[in-house]
Amino acid sequence: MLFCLVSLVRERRRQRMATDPRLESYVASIIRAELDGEKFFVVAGSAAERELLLEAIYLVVSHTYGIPLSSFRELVRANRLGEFLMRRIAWSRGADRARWLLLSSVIPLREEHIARLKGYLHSGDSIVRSSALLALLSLQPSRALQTIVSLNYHLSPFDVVRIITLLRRGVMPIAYEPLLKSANRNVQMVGLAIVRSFGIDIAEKHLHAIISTTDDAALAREVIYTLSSLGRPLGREKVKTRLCGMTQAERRDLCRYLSVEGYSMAALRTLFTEQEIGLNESLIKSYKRDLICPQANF
Amino acid sequence: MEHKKIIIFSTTPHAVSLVKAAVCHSAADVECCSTCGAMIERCRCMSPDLIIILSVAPFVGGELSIERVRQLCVAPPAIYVIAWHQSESVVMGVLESGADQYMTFPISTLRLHNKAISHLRTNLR
Repeated sequence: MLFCLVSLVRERRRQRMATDPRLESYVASIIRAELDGEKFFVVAGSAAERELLLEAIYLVVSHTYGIPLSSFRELVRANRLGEFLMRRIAWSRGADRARWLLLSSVIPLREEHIARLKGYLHSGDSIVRSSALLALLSLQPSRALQTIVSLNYHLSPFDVVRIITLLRRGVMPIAYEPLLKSANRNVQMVGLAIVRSFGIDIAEKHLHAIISTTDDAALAREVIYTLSSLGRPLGREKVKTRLCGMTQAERRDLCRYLSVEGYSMAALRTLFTEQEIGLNESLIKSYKRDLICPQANF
Repeated sequence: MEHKKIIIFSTTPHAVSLVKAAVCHSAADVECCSTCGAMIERCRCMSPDLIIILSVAPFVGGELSIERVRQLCVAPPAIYVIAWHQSESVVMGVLESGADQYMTFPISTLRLHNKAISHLRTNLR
């Protein structure tokens, strides 16, 4: 009962903050300062205002690129935002802690604070781990590879997508070759996500090299999906061998994915049986239609 | 030069404040709408010079048609779409349906500001 009440109060507080006019005012001030080439500075008078300030900075930094974190250094120091965040992270749990960790990813923290964030990288809670990883990658982009290599778990697709959003903000470099050649599975998964996300056709030979050499069936499957997203031919023997090693459900999923990606029925027939591609003809026809409705209903 | 009018449409309030701050200009009135119906109504009344839509959902769902929106206005406004979607089919669909610009988040606020201001300055009535 008490837990429900506390959760309800927290949720109401979060909803109130989302519509707080001070949040909009902070966001507007940050953007105006950036457009005018000045530094944004304000002194928060209370914990609520510090929280709003952090939310505003997170909103701006996560939706834009080109704003260096160092531009908030004076603001962080004057409002003691680093200490405020560390306290909040330590006192909270679960999704709350993950949220505070995400907020810490957009402000320049001192080295001792960053060192404390590393402790959450191996949390038992997956959402906390994911947010801590994002925070560390954002705050120390030059050590991104070391951070990913140090993980003792496999990155989930959700983690990989979040890392790609950091790349899109220009936080980390987009050098895919060393990632694909790495022996670390997590690093290779990030490399594959970069190839897929940026449509890097010339990575094809590296992808075939992974299919030929890896013992990890899940990784090989991910490579095949990456080749498909690039629209590359999948007729090589090694690819067909990997397909034979997949379960029926995996083959069906891949067949559906290839149909959506625009592979023709003739191409699918070289990889799958007639029974497997039987359902895909209608799917292909439906996906060849426009996704955007040209005529509106108003 | 008379005041230019900008409409920003988004179902979530957060991105609106960011984009509004980026395109705000002393010679432009900016209005924000959170529903398709409200946006269409404002287009009829205001006849904006620039419309910024922060989602592709209304296009995919069929609630919004760029052609019809332009017909509501005295002078056809420029339409910018800013969204997180990056898939080729969605982006091409939005551009082929008549949007003038498609930008993906994360955006450069300076670039958006300059584009908007440049468009408003060149479209003198």
